[in-house]
Amino acid sequence: MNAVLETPAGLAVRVRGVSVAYDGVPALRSVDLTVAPGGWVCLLGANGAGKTTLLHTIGGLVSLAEGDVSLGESAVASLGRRGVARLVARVPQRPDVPPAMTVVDYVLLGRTPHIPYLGVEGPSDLRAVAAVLERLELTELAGRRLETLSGGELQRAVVAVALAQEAPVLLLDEPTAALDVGHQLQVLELIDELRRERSLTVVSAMHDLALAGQFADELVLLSDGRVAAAGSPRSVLTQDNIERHYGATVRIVEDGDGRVLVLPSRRRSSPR
Amino acid sequence: MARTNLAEAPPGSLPKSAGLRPSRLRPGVVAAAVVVLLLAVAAGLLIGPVHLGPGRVLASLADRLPFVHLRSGLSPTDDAILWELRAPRVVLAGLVGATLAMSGASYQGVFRNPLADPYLLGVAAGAGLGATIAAVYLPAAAAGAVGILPAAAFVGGLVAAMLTYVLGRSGGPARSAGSLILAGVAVASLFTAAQTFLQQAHVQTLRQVYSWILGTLGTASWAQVRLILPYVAVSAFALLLHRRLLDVMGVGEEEARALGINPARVRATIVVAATLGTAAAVSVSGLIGFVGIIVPHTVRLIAGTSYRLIVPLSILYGAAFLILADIVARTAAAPEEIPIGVITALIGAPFFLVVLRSSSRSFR
Amino acid sequence: MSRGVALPALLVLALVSSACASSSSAGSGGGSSAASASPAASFPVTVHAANGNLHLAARPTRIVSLSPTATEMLFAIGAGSQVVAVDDQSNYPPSAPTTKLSGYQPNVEAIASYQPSLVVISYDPGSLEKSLERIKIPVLLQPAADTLDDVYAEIDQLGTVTGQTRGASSLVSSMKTKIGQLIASAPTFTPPLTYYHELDQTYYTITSKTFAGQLYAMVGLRNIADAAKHAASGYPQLSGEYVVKANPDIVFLADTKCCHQSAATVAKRPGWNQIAAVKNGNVVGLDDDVASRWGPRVVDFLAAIVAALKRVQAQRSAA
Repeated sequence: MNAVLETPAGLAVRVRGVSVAYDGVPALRSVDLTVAPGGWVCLLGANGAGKTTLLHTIGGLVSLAEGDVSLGESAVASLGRRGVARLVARVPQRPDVPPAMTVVDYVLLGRTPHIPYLGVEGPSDLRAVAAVLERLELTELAGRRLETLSGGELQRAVVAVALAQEAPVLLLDEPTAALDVGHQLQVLELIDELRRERSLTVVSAMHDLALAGQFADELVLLSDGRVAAAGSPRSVLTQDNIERHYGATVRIVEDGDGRVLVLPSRRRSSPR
Repeated sequence: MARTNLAEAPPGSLPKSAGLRPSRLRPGVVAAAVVVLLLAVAAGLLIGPVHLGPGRVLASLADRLPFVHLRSGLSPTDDAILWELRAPRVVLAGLVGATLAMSGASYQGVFRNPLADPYLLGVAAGAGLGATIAAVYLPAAAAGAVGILPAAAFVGGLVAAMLTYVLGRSGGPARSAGSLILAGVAVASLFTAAQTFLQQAHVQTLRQVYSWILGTLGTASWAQVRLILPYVAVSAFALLLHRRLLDVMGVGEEEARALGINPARVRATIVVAATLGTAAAVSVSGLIGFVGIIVPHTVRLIAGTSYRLIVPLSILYGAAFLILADIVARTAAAPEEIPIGVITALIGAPFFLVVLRSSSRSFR
Repeated sequence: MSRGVALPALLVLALVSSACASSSSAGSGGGSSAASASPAASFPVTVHAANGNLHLAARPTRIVSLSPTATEMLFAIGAGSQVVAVDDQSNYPPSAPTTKLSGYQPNVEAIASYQPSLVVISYDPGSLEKSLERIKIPVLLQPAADTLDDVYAEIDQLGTVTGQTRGASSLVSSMKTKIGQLIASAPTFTPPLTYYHELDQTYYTITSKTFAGQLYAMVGLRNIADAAKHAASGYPQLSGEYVVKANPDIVFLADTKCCHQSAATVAKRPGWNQIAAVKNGNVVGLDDDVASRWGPRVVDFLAAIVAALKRVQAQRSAA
């Protein structure tokens, strides 16, 4: 659609035997993960299972105790910070948004990996920003301060920054956490559209199992830093898996279109 | 959804619809600031406890231009007052004001704290201690017009900032911004205590540093201007080059790293550049407070929150502000001087109230 | 105080105080036998001091002075042998027993360790007096003098409390005589000469309301800082421009010791080469201490001022 934006075709993400520890406490233990170019893998797991750490690992933001990560042909360790930033874009869980910054300035930050260290943005950067704003329907809001945006608009702005980076790999940490159900679907549909348009490789971490099951190609369930289950949504979202690794009782429902829906269900317990 | 036709927009620009352009320093805004500065300089040369006559001052000014010869009608004494006392004072006020304002703005950006001022990392306390040590142990050398006092203050300021930096990094990279500020508080307290101790033990030196500590431009000379100009110029140059990066730092360490910059290195560079300028300014003017907070915040109110605007405008308006404050300091109670720190504080205190009330938004 | 009033007033005072002296020798010169006359008859004594009534039962032989001026006075009236410790700023006379005691930050225990029978102070930083009273040490407060009369009164008071009344009265009368002679010998100028008295190199100065300012006024000098109407404290900070413009005939530097200023350093200041005092070589360096204390060396201070006036007179008659 936009010939102006030049995103390289999708890259494969390969995580091999990665272990990460924070202050001696292991966060990931020998994790393997492969994401095909243009694919969408969603990480699942209880709080503290290691989802965010794994995302940080792919983004080159943590040091590895062992193992390696590669993006396409290149090992993350061999790329500089800028190199990684050109290949991987993040949508963080709780973005630290400068409240008084305007939308257009904020989205322009996404161009940082492409602008020389002491330089200023060039015409291609401005075109990329304009294209992204248009795609995410933020053009009318471009001059507004971030603090004046609604939750959904702000989320779109945060996604816009990541898209402006024109990176082939997109990492999303709880992209729907603060949104109502309408906006949740809107954002995820948008991601899906974009990934198909540009062959983005998407890795997301989500709590919402029902949404994860409907949008991702593959699910990876982490537990205590290890991969407990990986595969198609049907194979991972089983009552057994969820009870064991989340400690919750659920009902699995398969609808006619082959989608797997996870419904939390209360134990029938003591009378009120 | 407004569909804009990108193909029609001239290359290198976003369509001209309002708000679609990123924050850029527009020529009109710069011109306004330059005009304000020029007016301040003119006022600084024309106004003072000694009445010189505007016509004669302008004639004398014109006479200094190459190829222009004009009899200004000023007596030798008045001429000396204008060019040996008032002019260097105006220039020094401009340099010091610009430096304090841009350093304050840079620290606010790099620490994401609206109350960060140029003295945050202990520069003021270090400079005070340096000056006191020079006054106590090398009093003869400290006596000249540009004696050892500025150099000692400069070194003291840098030593304190370095100590703060070393201590602050021990908090680990994840917490370095917060640790730096805490380390700065600790270092400032330590150096201030040492300074007070020395002053108590050598009461006769109190006199020599007393004025300096209050902040004064009363002994400004061209020699002092020449002394600090290189440092101030280097500092300004470095900070101006980094203003886009200050905007990037606004999203926090982790995301800045994810965008491909090294926040620790950017912070170090900016801190070094700002500290260099501040130490130089403080070494000749003493400790003038509030400039580093009033000016950047005012610029934000006028021009927006992008550091690409704030840093250059802080330089221009900071210079104008201190020149004007100095005019008040030397004229309001003429022939007496009011310490300039008092003037900036008198403006600063109500200013804070205004900032608090007019905005519920925080400035980053 | 104009000169017309000062001289007769001093003469009257001289007569009055010598009439009150208990010793027989009135007039100049400290009689060397003064100290030997038994002062025991003068005690117990009660003086009405600035800090209330001070009652001394016996002649104090262990005096601690925390006031450099009081130190000078004590030694000048012959009570030096009664002084056991003086503060760290008391540098005159050189034979005074200087210690690390501080007049600004007094340590009561340190003072008490000298077992003083009397402590003389010029300034109470807060509760020093009360603390000393609690441990039954008598304290005499002699604050900074406002006029020469205050100076003479303080000397007499010290004479009374130390039993050196003869020494005190002879000091007072010798001072009065010398001061009278100095004032009489000071040349007059029409119009009067102007002066600038510098306390530090950032242009802190005194007005003629201060003690030192009055001395200058006694010999007819006009102070350029008197235009500073708001100088409530008497110690304003002037702007450099104003000093240059005011063009004082004489510059007195009271910052030669603290701040190492001299005629040479002053001449290098921007714009100062235009000042008459600098052009004619009438920049006078004073001893900081002499210029700031109100003791017997006030005479030396006045002598320096008069010498400067005489130099100007010589320049003008030579020109």
